[in-house]
Amino acid sequence: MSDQPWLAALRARAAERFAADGWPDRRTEHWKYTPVAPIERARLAPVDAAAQRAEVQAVRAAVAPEAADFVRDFSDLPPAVQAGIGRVAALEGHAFAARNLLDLHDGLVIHVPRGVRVAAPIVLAWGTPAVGAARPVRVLVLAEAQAEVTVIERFDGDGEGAALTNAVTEIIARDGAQVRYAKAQLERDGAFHVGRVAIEAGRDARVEAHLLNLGGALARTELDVALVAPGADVALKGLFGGRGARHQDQHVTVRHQSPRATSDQDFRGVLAAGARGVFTGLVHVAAGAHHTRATQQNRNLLLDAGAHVDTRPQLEIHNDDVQCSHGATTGRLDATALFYLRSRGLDATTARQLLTLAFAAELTEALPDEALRALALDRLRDAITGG
Amino acid sequence: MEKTPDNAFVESVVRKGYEHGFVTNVESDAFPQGISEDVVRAISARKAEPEWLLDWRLKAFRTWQKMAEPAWAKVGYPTIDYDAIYYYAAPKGPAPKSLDEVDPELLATFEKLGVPLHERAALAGVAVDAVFDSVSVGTTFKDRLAEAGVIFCSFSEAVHNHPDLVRKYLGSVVPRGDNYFAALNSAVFSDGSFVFIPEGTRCPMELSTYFRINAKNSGQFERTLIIAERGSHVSYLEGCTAPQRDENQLHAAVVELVAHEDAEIKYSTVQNWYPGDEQGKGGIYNFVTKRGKCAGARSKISWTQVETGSSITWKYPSCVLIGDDSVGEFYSIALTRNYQQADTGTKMVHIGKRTRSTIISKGISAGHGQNTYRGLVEIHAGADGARNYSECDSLLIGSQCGAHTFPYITCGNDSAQIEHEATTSKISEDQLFYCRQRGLSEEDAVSLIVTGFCKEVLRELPMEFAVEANKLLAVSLEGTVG
Repeated sequence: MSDQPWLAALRARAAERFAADGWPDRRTEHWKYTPVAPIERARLAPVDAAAQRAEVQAVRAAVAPEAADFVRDFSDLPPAVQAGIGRVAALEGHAFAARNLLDLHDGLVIHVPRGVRVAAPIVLAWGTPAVGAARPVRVLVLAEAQAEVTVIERFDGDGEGAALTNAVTEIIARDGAQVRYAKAQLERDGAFHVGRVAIEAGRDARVEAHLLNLGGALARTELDVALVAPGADVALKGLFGGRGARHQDQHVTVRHQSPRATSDQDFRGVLAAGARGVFTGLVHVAAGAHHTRATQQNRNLLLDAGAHVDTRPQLEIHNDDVQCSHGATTGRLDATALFYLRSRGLDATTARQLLTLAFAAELTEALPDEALRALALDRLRDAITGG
Repeated sequence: MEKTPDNAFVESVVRKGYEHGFVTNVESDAFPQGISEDVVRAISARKAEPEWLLDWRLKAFRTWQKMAEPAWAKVGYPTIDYDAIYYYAAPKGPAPKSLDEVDPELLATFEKLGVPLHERAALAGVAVDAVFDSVSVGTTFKDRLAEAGVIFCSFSEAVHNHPDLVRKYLGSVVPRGDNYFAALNSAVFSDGSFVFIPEGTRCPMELSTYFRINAKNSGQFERTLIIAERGSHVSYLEGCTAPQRDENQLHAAVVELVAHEDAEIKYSTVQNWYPGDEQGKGGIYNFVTKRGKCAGARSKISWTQVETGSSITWKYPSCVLIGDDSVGEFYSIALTRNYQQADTGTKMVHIGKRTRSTIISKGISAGHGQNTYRGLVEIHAGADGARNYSECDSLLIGSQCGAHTFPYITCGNDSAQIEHEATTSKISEDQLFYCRQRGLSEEDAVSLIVTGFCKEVLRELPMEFAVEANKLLAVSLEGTVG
């Protein structure tokens, strides 16, 4: 089976872009804190078309039956739906997004028609690529006007070994649509994960996106949000960190292109020895975007020596009628709080766990899926105890 | 466009003229335009500099030739033609021996600016090392300072009278190849100020330099070096004003501070270079490298700046906190209006244990002004118990301006504690309304609110400067509200 003509056309565009841009390096401002060299050095081979199609079918088959009708592969897309692929995730300056298209043969599209509410969460469980493989993953979530849907993407992995997942997810929430999205990056040790979640929110649309960036050796997820019509409201929540040789990068860009839109960011890192966390968040308010309200928070907890965090919370504002604020804090657990818990009879580890889980609770409690919450809490406990 | 009170106010701000835009008619003794090894040699020869310094300049020049102009700052300007600049301009005639020999027209210039030189200096109790274009024209209070053992002189004098000190410390904080503009300065710097405070001495008065760019098309490349020995204390004031011209002028200064054990340096700047006209024509390009080294334990360096002038400001007064328990502070007000652009902030590099830093930055944008805070807080792995607090607030006046915040925070020590917060908003209607209904004019109300917005920084300024800074802010904001 050969690829769809539209996919071939997208690939040609991507090839041009990739040839022009090449891989980013340390001098590329957006990649200042995350090295690409280890991924290049690993010389990973792209997963072939047959294997990609097999995986896409397996992931699709695992979707709950009551939601399965909304999930399609690339083989038979209506033109209006197909046109959404590659529309929000621009290629300029995104070498990995170009690479994703270059290696891509199949993906999944979740299309929810106007006014339809999908009750069951749609869970896409991607698993982990074979050692030595570079796997592109592509998803489009298209929620038509007033539609409602919850989508969860999981990237789980056991064991160890170098492999790359290059995931691009596009979310288009048309007027009044409500989308809840969660991405759990729990790749195995030694694995690389580069992902991009591009979101476009229309008039009075509401998008909630959760990011759990807790696995892998080197993982980066870019969240690109465009608020393109009045009343759009986007909330981004992210939890990252862990123990051991991990590098977790979250790169957030929120563009307020229209008046009366709202955005909130809350990202928290829990980093133990050996782990490095990177947060970059930009709120860009265009000249005409009056009555913008935007907040941005990045809090980082360093559990012990050898943990490292780089944070860049940024505001770029071209309009006076706005309320924007950001904050970033980095520190360790509060000694007084620890002492208090110890004085109440808790042992040191339990006290540390309790405070750390409390630090992350606002994010874990908000997760749209019980299984994800349990997973996140497990990972945090591991980070504290060194398990 | 709808004519709201805000718009009228903004227009009035934009229309406000530049008060210090006069030209002093003193014959200028300038080198031909352009830069080359010959110009570097000629500057060095004119100042009868020792061989090592010429060598240092030449190395800097060769480094500069290999460097590229930085493009990362959020400022836009046409390409600078480095061959169209005069790199040295001095008032003609032999250097004055005392204030009485100083050209009266020069003194009149300072008079207009309100520099407390000559008798006025006595009243104000401030010693002034005034830099007129490139040569220091007069230094006062030398005797009283000499009594305390303080050295306060022009850079060229220091090269001749205190060569060991200059040689030891020159480039020790800002190496000659540190960045493009610092390298350029290192090659062609013409003069500046030198301060040395001996061990255990509290400088008996506040030291002040008044920089002034006068000759047409001349760049100003001054270099300041302040050394505070163990247990000493000094407060240094720097004020800048430039005449009104259509061409853009380049100002690339370097300031180096060294604070030894238990020493404290307080460096205050009020920068009011010509900002260009309401079309954004002309104005100073202020590309300055300022850095302080807290070399000894418990040393402290505090930067305070009020930036209301220049068409472009590119300036990051920084602290390298090496000594244990050393302290770095940065207090800044940056006001941009018309087409002014400011990309300013600080770097706090924590290396020693229990080092502390505070960053308070207030940006005010009006008209088409673009105001960027850019800063770095870096905690090294060995900086146990380091502490940083940053606050960057922006105030927007009018819908055409921009305010941007780009902090970089890097933490490699788990016992460090870092907090950063920033807000961006306009003057609230409620505040304005309250002031208006209490009988204040809109103009006074705005001025009051802006002063309140800036008060955490203004209170860090020494008395004389606080008055001037308050006046400058008010002048920059005043106008008749229609």
